[in-house]
Amino acid sequence: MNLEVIWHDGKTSRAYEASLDFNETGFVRLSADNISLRYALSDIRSTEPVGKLKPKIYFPDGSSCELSDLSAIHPYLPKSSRLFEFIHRCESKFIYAVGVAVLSVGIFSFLILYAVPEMARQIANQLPPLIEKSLGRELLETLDRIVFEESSLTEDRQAHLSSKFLKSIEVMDSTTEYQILFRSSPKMGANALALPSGIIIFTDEIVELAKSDDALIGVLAHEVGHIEQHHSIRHVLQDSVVALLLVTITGDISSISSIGAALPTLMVQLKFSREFEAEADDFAIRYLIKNNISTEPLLELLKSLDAEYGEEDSMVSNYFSSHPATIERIKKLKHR
Amino acid sequence: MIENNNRKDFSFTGTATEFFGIWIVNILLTILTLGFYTPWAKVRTNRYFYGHTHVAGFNFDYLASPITILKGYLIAVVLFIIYIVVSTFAPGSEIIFFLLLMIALPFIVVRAMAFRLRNTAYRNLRFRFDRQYAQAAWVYLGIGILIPLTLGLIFPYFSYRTNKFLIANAGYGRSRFSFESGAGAFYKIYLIALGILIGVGIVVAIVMMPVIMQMQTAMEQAAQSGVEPDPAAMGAAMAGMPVLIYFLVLLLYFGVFIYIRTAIANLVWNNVTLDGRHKFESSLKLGRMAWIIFSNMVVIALSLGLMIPWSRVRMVRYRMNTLCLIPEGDLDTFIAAKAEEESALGEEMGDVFDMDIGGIG
Repeated sequence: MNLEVIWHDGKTSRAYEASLDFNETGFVRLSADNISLRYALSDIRSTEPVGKLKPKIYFPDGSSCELSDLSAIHPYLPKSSRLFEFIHRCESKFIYAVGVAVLSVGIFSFLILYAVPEMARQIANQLPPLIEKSLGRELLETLDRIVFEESSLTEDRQAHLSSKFLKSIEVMDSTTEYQILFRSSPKMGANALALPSGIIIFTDEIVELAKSDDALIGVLAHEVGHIEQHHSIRHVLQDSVVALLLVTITGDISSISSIGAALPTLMVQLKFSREFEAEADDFAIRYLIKNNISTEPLLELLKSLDAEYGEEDSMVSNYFSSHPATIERIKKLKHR
Repeated sequence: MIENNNRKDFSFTGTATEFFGIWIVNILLTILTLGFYTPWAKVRTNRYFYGHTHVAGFNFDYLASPITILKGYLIAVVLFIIYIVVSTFAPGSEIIFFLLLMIALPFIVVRAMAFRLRNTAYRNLRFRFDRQYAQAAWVYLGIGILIPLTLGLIFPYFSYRTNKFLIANAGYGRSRFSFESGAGAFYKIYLIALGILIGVGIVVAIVMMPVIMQMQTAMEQAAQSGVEPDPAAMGAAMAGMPVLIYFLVLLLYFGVFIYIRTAIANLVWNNVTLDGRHKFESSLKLGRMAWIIFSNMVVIALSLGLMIPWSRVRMVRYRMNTLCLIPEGDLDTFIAAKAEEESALGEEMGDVFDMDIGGIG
């Protein structure tokens, strides 16, 4: 058998018209111009096929040529790996690629919706408290610098609320050491925050908005729910793993087009956030019922929060919100 | 300008459908192997893009071995884990890592370029990159440190020097690339960018001023006549303004950013010479670039990432369609250079620590 090819000697950029002669068993003879070379077939290396790229074969002296079709000399070549032949078949048939895509989407959904949250839960439960402590301290320092001002509540009021809150937490049998703080924050408005390691912060605005201490106990239970279930750490872990998965897909984060891929990631991260809020709500409801505290005051507080800061609830805003829709939260409280 | 009819257009023959298959299989295998397939995925992707890039009758080849890349990748990942662990337990140590990374930067850039170019071949002849560490340190650290000290005034010069460094140390076989632009052309691009920012800013201010004034008078009139203005409408108008302005500013920055990228890509390619005689010509159009980048972003977001292969093929195809080689004489006479094996460490370090190495492409 003879094949006409373009041959590059690997020493210059010249392109030779050459012919390959396979008539001698185990060898190939290459002739171009006045050059005549003889190679053992077992020494020839071919590139793994990628897409519809024409394969190239390399001779032991570093010279090479492109073949329009490897099948002509396939029997003579050393067997290429089965695995890569399979990979090539999957990527070159569009229908296979679609199958792979469906499988990938399935695996991604499983990872993001189930495996990653579960993994984060396991890790967060086993993490030494030391890490949460230093994380909480650092976060508090940052928040004090950028969003918080000193509370304008009287010392008496603060002390009264603190002791009342700590007493409410005592009945929960928690091993966490809680710390209640009050801060003023015009930037945040009425809000309460749970930082890892048991720091709970109430803004003056929410204390003033609440009509009764029982409403604040409801808020407290919600925040304790965040802390007992290690939401901060889990949130950080889940967000970083999802961001890592994004890098896997886009291949590089540096190209500007892949900013587009940040949107789906953001939506997933917001979904995590909503789930944590719902979990903390459930915790609060369980606590209130168990201790015979009415859910009514918390309900009222949520309603007035909604009236003050509420945005319209629509399908779109739900997907781009860090909290479940207030309507949903109120519904859940009413059901109890 | 030398008249030369012997122009050789670059072309890209890959298709989105074909690359989709390669891309999706890569992703699946990368997940199933917990990331260990990454080097193979990278090699297959690069081989696809290089192999479908043609000029003067021949295509390019990417020759790197996945195993070499895997070694560099593992070292980089180990370093990254050390960084994460140490910075978690010793907050504040990030700055030390940052400094170490800065010091290592010239080394990483040189190694990455050397690895990439040595594994790029055309007509079975490899490219190369001279390992000038001292020069790299001077350009990236020496001049780089002046950027904050001069309030950024030296940035166009820095951009000029890095491009010149990357090109003048590159070679094809024994032949060298050279870069013939001066720093002036870079200053011109950044000055125009600044001009656009200021100019558009003034226009927006002039257009918005009467609108704001009108709103104000409307409010005053309402207050005087004792009629309560509809609070909902007023609120919406007030809230809408900053969002609109924010969006316009973002769009403006985005446009200026694309302008700089496009103008510099053209400038650089139009001043590259191979072997002192072969020239290149790049004619990227700003409008087309902006359209491709913007629509790619939207399509990627709407398709939850599934259209990434399409967007990449589209971008590369446009870039290759606007690039051509203007050879002066024979392209058959390049001779191979002797070169040593290059480890992939530099390139993978750059990948893991997220740096865009080699700004020419």
